[in-house]
Amino acid sequence: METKQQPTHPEPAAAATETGLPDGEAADVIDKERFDTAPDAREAALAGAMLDQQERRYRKRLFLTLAAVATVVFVICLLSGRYNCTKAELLASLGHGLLQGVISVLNLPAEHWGWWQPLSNPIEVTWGQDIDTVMWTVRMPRILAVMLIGGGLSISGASFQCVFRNPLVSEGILGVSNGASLGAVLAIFFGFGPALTSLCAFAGGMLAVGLAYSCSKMFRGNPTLVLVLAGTVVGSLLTAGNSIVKYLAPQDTKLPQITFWLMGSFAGISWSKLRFMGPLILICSLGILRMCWQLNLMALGDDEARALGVDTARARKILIFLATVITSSAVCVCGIVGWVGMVIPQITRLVVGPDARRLIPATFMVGSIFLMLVDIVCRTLVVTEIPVGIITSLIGAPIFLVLLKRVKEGWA
Amino acid sequence: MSTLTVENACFSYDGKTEIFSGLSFSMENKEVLCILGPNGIGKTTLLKSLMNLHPLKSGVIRVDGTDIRHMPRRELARTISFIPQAVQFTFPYKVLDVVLMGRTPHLNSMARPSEEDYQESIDAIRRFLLLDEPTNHLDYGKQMQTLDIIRAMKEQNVGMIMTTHNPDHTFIACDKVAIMNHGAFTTVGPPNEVVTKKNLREIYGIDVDIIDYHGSVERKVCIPLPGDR
Repeated sequence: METKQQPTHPEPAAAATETGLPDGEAADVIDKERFDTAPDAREAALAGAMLDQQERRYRKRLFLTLAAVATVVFVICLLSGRYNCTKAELLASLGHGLLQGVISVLNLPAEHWGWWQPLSNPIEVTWGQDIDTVMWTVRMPRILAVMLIGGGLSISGASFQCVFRNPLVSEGILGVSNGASLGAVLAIFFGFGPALTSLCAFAGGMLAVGLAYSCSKMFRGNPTLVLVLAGTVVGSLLTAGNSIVKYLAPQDTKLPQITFWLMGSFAGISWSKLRFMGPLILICSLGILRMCWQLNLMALGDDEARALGVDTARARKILIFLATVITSSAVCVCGIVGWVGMVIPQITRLVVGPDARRLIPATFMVGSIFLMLVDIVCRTLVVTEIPVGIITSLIGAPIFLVLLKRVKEGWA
Repeated sequence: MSTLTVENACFSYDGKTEIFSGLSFSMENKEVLCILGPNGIGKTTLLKSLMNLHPLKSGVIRVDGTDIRHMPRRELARTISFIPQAVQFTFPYKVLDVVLMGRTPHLNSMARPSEEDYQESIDAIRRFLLLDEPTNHLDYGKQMQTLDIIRAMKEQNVGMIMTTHNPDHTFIACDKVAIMNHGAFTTVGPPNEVVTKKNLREIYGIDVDIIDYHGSVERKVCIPLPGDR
């Protein structure tokens, strides 16, 4: 995006002062001249509109590129793993399943009203039932969830960075992760099943942020600063709670379970969990996407945004709610996935710039791609699955460093 | 023609110490009002109150008879705009983006402004403009250019309230000067009457000579004098 230099306008003041008129008149001349030769409003409007069109073209290209990359990574992710079978079999199963979906929709009128002969799937099944199970019962829901979680955590991290005007903030700043952890840890401690554990984690995350938000209302002062402080206080209280439960938990049964939950894992994701968290993450992300311009203004500062007509208290409430729902639903199915919410928005910002209209959608896709890559590593590097949190840091940190060095002259 | 009226405005951050109280004035959208006053007296606070960023403890601010507290934020933003002394940019926004953000109240759709939107938004001029030390941090030439722009905008029927720490600027660009001290406007009037040796002594605690300059321009000029010690 190169912005063209506006044509410079001649300085009128110098000419006017040499006319030698008495001072009142001279002043009028200066004003008039400056006023008349001021950059033409129409020209400026057109230039603005033109640049905006360029901007929209750039955004379109950017998102198409990212979507293409995401699709490729998605397929690679589906094909990689430790199950003993060939890539071709998996690919055939994938193609067959997708085609079957399309065909069954196309066949609806045929079956109901007999308009035409029902179509049949052109890909012949030459593989075992187990391949279909691996592809459609194990990997598909898991990787769709991974995409949504990566995108969702990044988008809520990015919006929090704008709301709190701080690039070091992550989605957990208001205590959502600590709350979700405590919920899950308590559920494991009391021996609840996995579904109830997820529900407890979700509730814990929402409650923690609700608590932080209502605490912040008790204090006067800079609202975002007070919120961060309240979030930190609530977070550390909940961490203490976590530690207490861990301390009390039986060392040989419950404690390892708790520890593994806290390290995060995608292994337990099923269609039923995806059906719960998928719509939540998608709807809330779309909600945040609609507020990009407000995010831009809020990143300028609270007073500035309000002076420009934004009801910041309301916008902040909505954004915090949406981001918290996203994070809670992500955390409740896969445990704590650190680092993504803070660093992916930063990496994206380094490349596309800080304008939320680019950053927010781009960060969703970059987050998805990143977490899918992480998932590939988790599943293929060694025989047993590696906890996600370890790999996100191991991969993310070097990427971030390399980018930081590369784009020294860009957006950093 | 628009009028901005402030009646008995009173503001306090903590509910006890009043920053200003019983402050009243009114101005039209063809005047430049300049507020002079010592550091920390509440000039910025007053400007933010006028924008309803700091709601008053008591008193009313009206634009053409409408209480600004009853105006929706966006409506108020279309009527009065506020340029803070400094905006701290956390993220490296492009200049064009920031300019566009400034036009937000005039855009119909914040997400996808159309070409007509740009046209309208640039034609739309707010009736009042609050400038918090607009010349602060600028080099000498740009300070004068800024004052030129202020005078040119006055001709477009924009009423402006600015604060400054340079009394010379009041002679260059302002129609009225208000001295803010001890929680109220102590004096309001044309620069020639208000910016006097005595008043400047009271605000700044230093002696200033004010002389009539007769040269390529005719106006008063302030000459700060060396201190007693």
